[in-house]
Amino acid sequence: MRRIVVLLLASVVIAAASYMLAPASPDNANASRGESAFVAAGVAEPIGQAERGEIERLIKAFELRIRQHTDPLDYKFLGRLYLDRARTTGDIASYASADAALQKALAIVATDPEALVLLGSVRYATHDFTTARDLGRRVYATDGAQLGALLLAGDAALELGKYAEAADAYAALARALPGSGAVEARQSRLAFLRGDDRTAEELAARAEFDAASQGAFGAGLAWYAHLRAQLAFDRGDYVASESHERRALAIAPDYHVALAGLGRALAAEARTADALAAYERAIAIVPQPDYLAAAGDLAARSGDSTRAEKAYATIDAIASLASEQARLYDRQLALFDVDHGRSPDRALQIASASLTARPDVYGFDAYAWALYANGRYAEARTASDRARVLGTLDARLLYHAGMISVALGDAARARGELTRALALSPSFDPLQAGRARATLVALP
Amino acid sequence: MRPSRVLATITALGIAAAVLAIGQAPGAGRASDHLDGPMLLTSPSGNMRADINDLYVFRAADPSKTVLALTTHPAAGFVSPLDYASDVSYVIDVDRNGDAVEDIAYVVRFSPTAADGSQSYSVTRYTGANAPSLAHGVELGTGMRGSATALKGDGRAFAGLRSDPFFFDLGAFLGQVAGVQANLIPGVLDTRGRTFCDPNRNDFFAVLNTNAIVLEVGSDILSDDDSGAIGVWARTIGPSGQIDRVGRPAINTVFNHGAAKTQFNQEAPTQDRANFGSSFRATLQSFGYDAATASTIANVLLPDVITYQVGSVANGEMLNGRALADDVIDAELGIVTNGHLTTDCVGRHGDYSATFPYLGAPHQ
Repeated sequence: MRRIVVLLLASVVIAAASYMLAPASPDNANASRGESAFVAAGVAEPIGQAERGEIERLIKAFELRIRQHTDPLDYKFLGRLYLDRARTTGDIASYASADAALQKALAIVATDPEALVLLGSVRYATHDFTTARDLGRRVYATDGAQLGALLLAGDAALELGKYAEAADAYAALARALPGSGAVEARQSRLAFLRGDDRTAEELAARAEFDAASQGAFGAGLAWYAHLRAQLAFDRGDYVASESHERRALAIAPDYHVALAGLGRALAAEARTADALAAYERAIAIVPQPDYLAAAGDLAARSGDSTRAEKAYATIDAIASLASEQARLYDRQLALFDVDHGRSPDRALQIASASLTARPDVYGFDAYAWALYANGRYAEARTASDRARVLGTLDARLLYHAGMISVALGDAARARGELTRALALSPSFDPLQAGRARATLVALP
Repeated sequence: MRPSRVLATITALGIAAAVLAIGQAPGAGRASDHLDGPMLLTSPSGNMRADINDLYVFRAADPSKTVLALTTHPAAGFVSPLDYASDVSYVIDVDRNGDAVEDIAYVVRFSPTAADGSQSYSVTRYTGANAPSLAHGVELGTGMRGSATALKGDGRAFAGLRSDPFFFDLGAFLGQVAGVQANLIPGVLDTRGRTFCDPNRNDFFAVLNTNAIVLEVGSDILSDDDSGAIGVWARTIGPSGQIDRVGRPAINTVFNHGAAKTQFNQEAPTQDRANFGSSFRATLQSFGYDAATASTIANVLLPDVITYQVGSVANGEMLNGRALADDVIDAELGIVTNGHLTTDCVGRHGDYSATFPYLGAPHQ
């Protein structure tokens, strides 16, 4: 049956019954491997690269189409293409293009649910979580079959710290779409935040397998491997983390998120030069502040202070520009400022604004860390406690809590928090892990 | 037919189409430091790689041969991946005696995708009692995805990326459906959106790619009697059973809803009249046909196989095979609107090839 492809979104309906099929077995290869005189050179190429090329080709084709005729479907499809380009390549300007294309579609049909959900996805990606949540909820309330809208609403709720709401959305999605990799990944993330790292890892493994069986590919599939790499890293299994990132890169070789993740795992394995090389590849694709900070830290650790300062200076430049980049990477910038003793004022300003836009546990953590840098320890304690309210097993949260305890003179509590941080992930950060260890040793 | 009837029909079509809509999630980077996970992957079959787009049956450039072409992977390379599933059998069935039971089955199977993206395939033929059971087949040949290969018996095969030959003004279709649904006023089109044959008419599929399995085989093997009449359909079969099935274009899309669509995809053509005859007749009557005519049309449409006179020039509009250029959507619109809408005002693509594998080279 010709699938009248709406090609856009999940928001479009799926019969639950269509998911009755069990996941496919991964190694059921019943084809004979044939030799053929017709093998054409150059046909095979890593799927990730082919995917990137196809997005660019289709963007060109649809940019031409919208000049030839006016059709909301073309604007929606183009919006989706711009969104995917931004997400896979880190090209922030592409979000604005996506927004504009989707506004064109909505100017023609204001109630188009797909266009509204895609617009919400753009707003989510650009950290307007309130609008994203509103759009998702509005579309889902109008049509309960718009599961993509529910997913968007749940994701936005998660970033807004509305964990029960996110959990409800994900549970409803899991009932409607049992075995959906995209939904299992969300449940994994939620389990991690709630301190259930074992469940998180199980769900992430299942999510990757199911997503692959269901046809995820390229960066969209590599994302799942990266999710597992993060979970492995957070419980201190750096070898497993590295292996997951390498799998992600085998799927999508230019996936900057996995390149940086590989750098992080290698750094934790004390393979500094390899780690630096991985980060520099990621930075060449998109110079995100957290990549630059890690590269700078690794350079500093290996005694190359010139190289380190160069990376740090780039971050300072990003922070001072008041650009879209500075806004999107606000937390990275605040943490960088505190970790590197740059500007406590600026750190607090950024962290405070970030918390307003996104009051989730990591927002409270960054805010706590900035308050700590400004010597406001009691307030830092309150914010840090809020950051740990879910019991998230993340060494960084525990490290920040421990340093605040030290500042407040609570050595016993500090010892517990720093010990747990280092037990969980002994090399959680190139510089901060060492500080945690030194602080712990120096405790009375 | 009154205008409201036409609209109601289009709405019915739209509901059907919506169930088939596909949303993928290639995206999924982390723009910064939050989850930003993939969107839902919502193939109706639960497996993007097993989604059938279209089936074509037509006479080859060599008039002694017949082409069987199965397209899968909607918007391959963007919405769908480029590789085939290694645990799915891609099957083209041929009935030679009009009983809707396969007498020949061609099955294409794929290896897992290698690290460099390459993938091999094999083509196996099952005949007689082995065709329904897919036991004791004869391997006709093997090849690599993206390349053609020779088959035993002077045939050939191709599997891989091509330009999608399908053409349809999907934007107008969705615009009319959305307009009707948004306004909820029978007979009033939402003119803010698109309508068929308006000045913005366009073929949404003109720039998309699809995966295609193209088999070219001797016509004599397809037909064992003088009549030369065959029925052809295609299926995808996964580890848990049949996933998708297609005969004539858009039959399931138009006539079945909800769970019926899945049941249709998972059953055999021999069950079609018993399981779907009454619902097809009812749908046709809702389109304005009288009971007798509805019954006649339902018995033409079911079982859902492409009927073809081997060796003849295919003509999908006349229910004889389906060539790449046949405007089956126009024919379909004519049937479901009882002649009130007879065209979407877009036509065939310009990139079909006169020679194997007939579907145009992929857009790149």
